[in-house]
Amino acid sequence: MFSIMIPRRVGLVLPAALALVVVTLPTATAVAPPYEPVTIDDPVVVGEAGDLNLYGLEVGPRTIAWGGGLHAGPVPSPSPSPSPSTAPGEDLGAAVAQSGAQMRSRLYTPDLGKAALSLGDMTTAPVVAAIDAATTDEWAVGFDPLGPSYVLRVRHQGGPEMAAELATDDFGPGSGSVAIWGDMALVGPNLVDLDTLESVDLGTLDECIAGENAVLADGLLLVQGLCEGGQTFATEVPEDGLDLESLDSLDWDVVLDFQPDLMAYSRGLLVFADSKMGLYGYLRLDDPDAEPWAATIPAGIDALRVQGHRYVVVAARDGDVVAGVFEEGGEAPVAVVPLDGGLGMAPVLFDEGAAATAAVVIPRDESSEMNLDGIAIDLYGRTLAWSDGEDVFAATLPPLAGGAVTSTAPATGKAGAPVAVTAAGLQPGEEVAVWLESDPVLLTLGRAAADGTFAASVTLPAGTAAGTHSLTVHGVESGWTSVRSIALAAAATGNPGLRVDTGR
Amino acid sequence: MRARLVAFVVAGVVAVGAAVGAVLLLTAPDDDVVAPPAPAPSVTRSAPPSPTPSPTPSFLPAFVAMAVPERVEIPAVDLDLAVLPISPVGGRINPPTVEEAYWIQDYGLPGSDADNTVYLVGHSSLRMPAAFNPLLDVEHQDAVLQPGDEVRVTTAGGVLRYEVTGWTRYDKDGLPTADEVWAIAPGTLQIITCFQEDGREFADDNLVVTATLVEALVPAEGATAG
Repeated sequence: MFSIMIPRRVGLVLPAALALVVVTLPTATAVAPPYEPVTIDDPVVVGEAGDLNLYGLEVGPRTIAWGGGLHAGPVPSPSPSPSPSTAPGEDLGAAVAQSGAQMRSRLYTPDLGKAALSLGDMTTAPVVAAIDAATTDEWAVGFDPLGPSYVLRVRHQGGPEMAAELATDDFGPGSGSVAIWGDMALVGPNLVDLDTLESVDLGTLDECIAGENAVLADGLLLVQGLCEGGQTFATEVPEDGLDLESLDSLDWDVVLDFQPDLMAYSRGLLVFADSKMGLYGYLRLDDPDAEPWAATIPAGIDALRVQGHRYVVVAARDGDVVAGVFEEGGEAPVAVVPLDGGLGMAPVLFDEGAAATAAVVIPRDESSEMNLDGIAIDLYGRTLAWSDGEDVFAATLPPLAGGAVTSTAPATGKAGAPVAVTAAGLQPGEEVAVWLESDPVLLTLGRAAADGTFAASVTLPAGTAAGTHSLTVHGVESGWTSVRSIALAAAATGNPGLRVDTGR
Repeated sequence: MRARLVAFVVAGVVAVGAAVGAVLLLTAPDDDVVAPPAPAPSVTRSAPPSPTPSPTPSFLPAFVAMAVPERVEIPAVDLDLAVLPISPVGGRINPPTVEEAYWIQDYGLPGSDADNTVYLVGHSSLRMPAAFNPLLDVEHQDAVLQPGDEVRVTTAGGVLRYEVTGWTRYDKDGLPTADEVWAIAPGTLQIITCFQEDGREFADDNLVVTATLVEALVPAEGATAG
């Protein structure tokens, strides 16, 4: 059994008299090992990673993107100008050949309750030419640590690609992870204002703040502290960003009194892991009364991901790399994914004979997650994408545990007529799909309120056969559903009623 | 080190996200675009038709086969409009242009042998000229047409002459289930627009003018036994 230090969580709610709120982690329980049989049955093959030596894999609400480089064969001829977008699965190798990197992306349709995860066409993807990249509805940000120069590449949705120098590029090849929140990006230790493309190295703010291993997500910036034996600090980041010139006057909150070497954050849930201690756990920062949780794991922990209530722990065990998907509050994994040991874990050699650029040798770096980007989770915990080193897969995870959605709808209706549907018990703010069955027809997509309620007026399609049908309210993020029966009267003597919007 | 122990309220961030979502959800639909109110459209009825018959009648009663409507005329309000076809989308009708009348092509065709109700729809507006503005007396919250007023629908085969029998104001949400409007009633014409209220940005109601086929006419030179 590990003997673990006891982290304190301080100042989550400002005590009027600055009385410290001390939260003690329970003694970590050994989970030995948590990885039991695979529970993902039918992953979708998104595309081939081939010999890409996968470097980045991201999944967003509608997009799965992956990138890599370091071809074993000849490098494609450089393109005169980078392509601003790509067709489904199109190889961008030519566009980014100067850095030896490729990026591919596919759109997907998430499970809306009645259809499995499926792939669609990529339309106007704001792809940037980089190995490490992140995208939002507004921005695409990429960083190519292997290029001839360390250049940040930024594309505003629909706009041209812009390039900028970073405040510091002294963070080593392969560690240029990218994250975006609002109009700010975090690239390695650089906090970047995307409107101005100016950046600040977090490590220069204060001698007690480390630039490395910072996290930017969901309105929170987390940094590691170097003083007092090591701490972890957090500050809020508004969507319109922080003033880079005032960073040294930010209010920081101490959220951990130790420095985990891996952290991830999503919607109030901070997940941490430390390979030295063989420890992983989580704290809920938006609920001071919530109990923190931690567990030990025999294997070293190599990567950590979190979205919504789900988090992913990646660990090497017996020579294999395994990922377990866990749910906040539950100790058994929701799903287990064996990741091929060839996922870039071995040294990657650039083919010197084919190199148009300088040959690079990247040593295996077990302290870095650079080679373990082959797993990603998003749509707040429902979609998981990973690679076994040959292909890129994606799957829809089971519903969150403990759903109790209730809904109301009229017991009777008419084809072509509107009916009011309400629901409660959904995840706050989650996407909601309302279906009419038996032939599933998506009636509307909406969003739950902050209290988990939902209300919509949906029109039963004209031409729907008379008889008993089902109205299903489905939370896309939670996977929770509620079903009501509705009887449609025969409409033999009338035309389907219509709503007439003729006001201008 | 400037790390100060101050409040960190993640819930505030969540609230911001929820507020953004709420704004998105509140985006007005296309036909409810807010604009400064304009004076209510003036209401004018044309003088009653002269009792003196035309010395050379150009139309004669005849059988007019069902055909696509091309124009609609309502002499009492000087309305004369082109008619374009439209189909419902998702149980809704929202004409794409403002100054034309539209015929719901999924339902009835006008004609002597009509087998279903004929529906004409068109926009009305407080802010701009619109197809069916002449049907509304916004100032008095009334419809302009009166029972007996003539509605002429022209097709390639001739003219279908209807007479107004009445009008009804419906809540928009209630219109789709108003059985009397959507009943299959050959020989009936339903003219539907929005019921505008002076000073209101959105029309919550529809005006439905009902008319009944009284005569089918063809040009005199093409008349056949009817």
